[in-house]
Amino acid sequence: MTALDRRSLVLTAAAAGLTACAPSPSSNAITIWHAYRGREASAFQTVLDAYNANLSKSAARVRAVSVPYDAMADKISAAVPRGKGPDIFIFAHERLGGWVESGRTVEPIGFWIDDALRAQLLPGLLNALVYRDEIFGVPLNFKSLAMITNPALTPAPASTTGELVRQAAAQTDAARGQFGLVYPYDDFFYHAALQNGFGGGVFDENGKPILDHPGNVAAAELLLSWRRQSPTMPDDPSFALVQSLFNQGRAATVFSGPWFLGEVTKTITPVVAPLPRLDEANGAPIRPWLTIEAAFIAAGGRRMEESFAFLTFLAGPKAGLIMARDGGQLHACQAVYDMPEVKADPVALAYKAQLESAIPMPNIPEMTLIWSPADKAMKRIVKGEASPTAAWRDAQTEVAEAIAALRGGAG
Amino acid sequence: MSGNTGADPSAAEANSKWRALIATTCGAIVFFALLIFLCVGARNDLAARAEGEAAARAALGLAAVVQAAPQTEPGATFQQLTTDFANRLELPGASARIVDLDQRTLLASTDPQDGLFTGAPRALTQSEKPIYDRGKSLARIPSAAIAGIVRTPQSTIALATAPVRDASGERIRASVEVSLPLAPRQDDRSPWLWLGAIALGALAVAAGLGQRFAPRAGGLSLAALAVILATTLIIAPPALEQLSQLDQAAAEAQSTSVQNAVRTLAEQRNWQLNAQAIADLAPETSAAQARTLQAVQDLRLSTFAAGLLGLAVAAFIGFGWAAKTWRTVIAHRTAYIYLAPALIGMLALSIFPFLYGVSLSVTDTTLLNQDQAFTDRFVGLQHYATILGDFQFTTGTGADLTVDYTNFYWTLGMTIAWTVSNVAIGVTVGLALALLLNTKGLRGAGVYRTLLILPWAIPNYITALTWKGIFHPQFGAANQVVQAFGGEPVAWFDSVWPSFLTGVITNGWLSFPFMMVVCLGALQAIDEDMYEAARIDGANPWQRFRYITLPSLMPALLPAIIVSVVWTFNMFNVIYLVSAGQPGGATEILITRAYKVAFEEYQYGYAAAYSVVIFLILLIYSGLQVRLSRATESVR
Repeated sequence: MTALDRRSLVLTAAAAGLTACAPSPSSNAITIWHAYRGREASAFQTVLDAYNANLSKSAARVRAVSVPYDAMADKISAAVPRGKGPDIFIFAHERLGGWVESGRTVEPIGFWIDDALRAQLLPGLLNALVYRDEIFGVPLNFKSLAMITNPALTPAPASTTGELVRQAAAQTDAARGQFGLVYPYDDFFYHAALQNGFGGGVFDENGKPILDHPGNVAAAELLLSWRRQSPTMPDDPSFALVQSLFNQGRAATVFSGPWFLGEVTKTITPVVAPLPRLDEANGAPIRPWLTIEAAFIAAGGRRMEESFAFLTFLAGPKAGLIMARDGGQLHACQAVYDMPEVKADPVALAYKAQLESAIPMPNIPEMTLIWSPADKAMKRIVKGEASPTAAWRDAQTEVAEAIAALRGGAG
Repeated sequence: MSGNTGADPSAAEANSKWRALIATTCGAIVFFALLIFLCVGARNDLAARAEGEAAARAALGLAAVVQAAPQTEPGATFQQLTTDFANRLELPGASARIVDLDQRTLLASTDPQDGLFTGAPRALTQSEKPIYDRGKSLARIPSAAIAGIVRTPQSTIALATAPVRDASGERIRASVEVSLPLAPRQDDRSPWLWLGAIALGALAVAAGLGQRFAPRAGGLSLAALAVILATTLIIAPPALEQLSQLDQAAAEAQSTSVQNAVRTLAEQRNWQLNAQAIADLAPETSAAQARTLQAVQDLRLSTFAAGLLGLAVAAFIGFGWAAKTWRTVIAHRTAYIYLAPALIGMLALSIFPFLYGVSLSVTDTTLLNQDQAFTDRFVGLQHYATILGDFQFTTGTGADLTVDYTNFYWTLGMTIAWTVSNVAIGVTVGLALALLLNTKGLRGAGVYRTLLILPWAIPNYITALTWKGIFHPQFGAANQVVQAFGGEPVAWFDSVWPSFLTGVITNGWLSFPFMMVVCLGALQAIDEDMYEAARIDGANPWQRFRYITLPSLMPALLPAIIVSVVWTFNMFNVIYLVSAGQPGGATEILITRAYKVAFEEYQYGYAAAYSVVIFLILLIYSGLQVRLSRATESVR
């Protein structure tokens, strides 16, 4: 190897290194991260195009980047505090507390939110984006469980649990593998609706865990009584199993969210209705978790005012109609539900009716510590390994320890 | 010791003296540069905290007066109050503002940045959003006020925000901000002069000694440097303590002046002050002392670390390692250039994350405290003690007494059982199939071979999910087979051993093709003459397998078993996707447990320690395995 060769080799290596480290060409656009796919993604692109078309020449354009949903929360936690993230990101509200507390991730936007914007949103949604008295995001759409029935098997959806159980017993035909009521009842996300209905839940108003609340025990007892009465519910009901039973016409009633409808076979036209009232709790409604997808402004961004202008557009009726009609979303803007295209959609109206009894999933960081112990408790209860009282007491202890470990580190 | 073998002794000795001198100098330079950096940093941190606290006290004082004022007062009253307060503070250049958070208006301000303020409340402008946000963020701040140092291109100010609460005392309706311009830092250089003089003296001594007796340059330079380090370690931290005591005295004087200003202003206007609010203005002497103590301790620790680094530099040069490294690099420079890309890649992708993980494992990092300083999160080997010292094998009492499946030793036992059974199954099935496929004259051997390799070719998570479906208690194929033979359906995931079995079956399915391919290759390489000879000697098939086939397979099989053990030990997918640790985490292996701690409980430090423990176990295993295989090699 000659000296010249050697030098060029070193230079090439150095150049390669420099290129890798160089910042990407600074673009003038506002970047927004989302996890939409399929029709939601194309509807979102329509919204972006509509917004960009009306901007003045000098204003920054908005550019969408699609990020896989599973990776998104961790990507945001890692990239935004180091100034490598987007200007805006769209995500469910339940990670908010963790982001606020770990710092430099989400920008408070209460300063910009005026009464006009508040009035335009469906009631209660903005509250899910409040963390310790500050507002951190603009709600865009919501999801919750509701009751989905197969009209071929269920002529009229039940309005109380008593009615539901009677219907389900008549519809169940174990020999054919047909079931009256099917939902992932051992999955805590689904079961929480019953707990909330009984006045239980996961945290009190001070954020202390209350998994051993009597309401939670009562909810588990009700589930066990449903399981005991007759085999109206199948064993080990995973989401995929629920889906396939429903699509084969072997499930009469399902508790699930709008995500379920996308997978329903063409031959069945599902009917959606609010979850029934609990005869066992003096007619209180079953209260499913409410998940709110919101747009957040990344902390420390360069164009926060322009970003917020886009957020108000996203939450407004024009974008709302496109996202509801073309994207199939349950939009957060009230006016959308009075527009003829949406007003004619019984599914959207049913989920909007469910909104009244749904409660936002807690957005405090401790919520992430609930899932694993609560799911474990559900499995133990359903399999008869532990009484509801014992299972929830153990889960309470486990969660309290995990919170102490998490908070102890922060303290 | 000396790199110059073959030179004459006197030249070597002269060389050695120079080396001692250079080594000590370099070590000392490294040490002092670090030391000065650390000391100045620690001193500035303490000073900044003191300044922030001065601003915070002033803000709390003004907030106390504003809180005492009737809300009906006109804006001009607040403007007058703020001006009076700023004048009474014995802090030159201090300015204050009051912000109504409910109305998003500026009530009063003496800050020239807020423009010419007329005294009538005005709406906050877009550029004043940070002021509003600071006020609102008070609701989630545990301390009474937030204070910090804000650096702008023009100036550096200490800025503090304090809350004004409503009548109920729960909601924050307004905020008060006080900013203090800071004088440029006065670097007190006298301690560094002292330390520099000592360093020079020590260097001179080292050099002098080096002239007289310098048989061993390395030892001498280390000794000289050690003397310098010890001296510094004794002198530097107490100097810091003294300086911060001066800050403390200033804080007390300033606190009194704020208290007086607050009382006077309220009395002039006949407003009732909250007694607690006044008491809160007293400087927290104990907290300040604890902080100084902590800073001194941190400094001692980091000085010590800097000293070790200095010693390392001295040793590197003094013992001739630097010279040796340099010569090697020069001699083999082409090789090193070619190696560099791979080395850089390894450093960035393997070694750096590994070291980061190890450093994380000695902290109590969680989701919530990631951006705290390393020293605040440092807990030493506490996590390792918790993991390895966990001898609580049961949980609950009386009838509820159950095995604690999250116990480290249970999980370790489960992992070992998992690894041993899987590798045993993989080797047995793989070897058996290889022997069958190796049958002479077997028709369609190629087709069988391809089919048998298929499980390996399919991505393992797809296989895992398929098997999970097979084990569904009501709809799964496994139970339908059981029922077809008249058995009762098995609830696979409800008890420990059936659940464990689902994982083993899935992983067995995934792992036998690899072993089969390895064995098949080795089988085909065995010389046919050996079997011929054995047959002539009257060996039966078992004897031929035991004494010819198996020993010939060993060189190929042993490395395959070694890697297979490591793979299986960390086989995350199968456990996570098939049994998911059911029931109650009983069938979890170490790696899935670490994942849960990190990403479900968000205790990153603890999870990192868990991972390091896994690494150490595998390291010990590989060490033993290498010895074992060396032993077999020597036997052959």
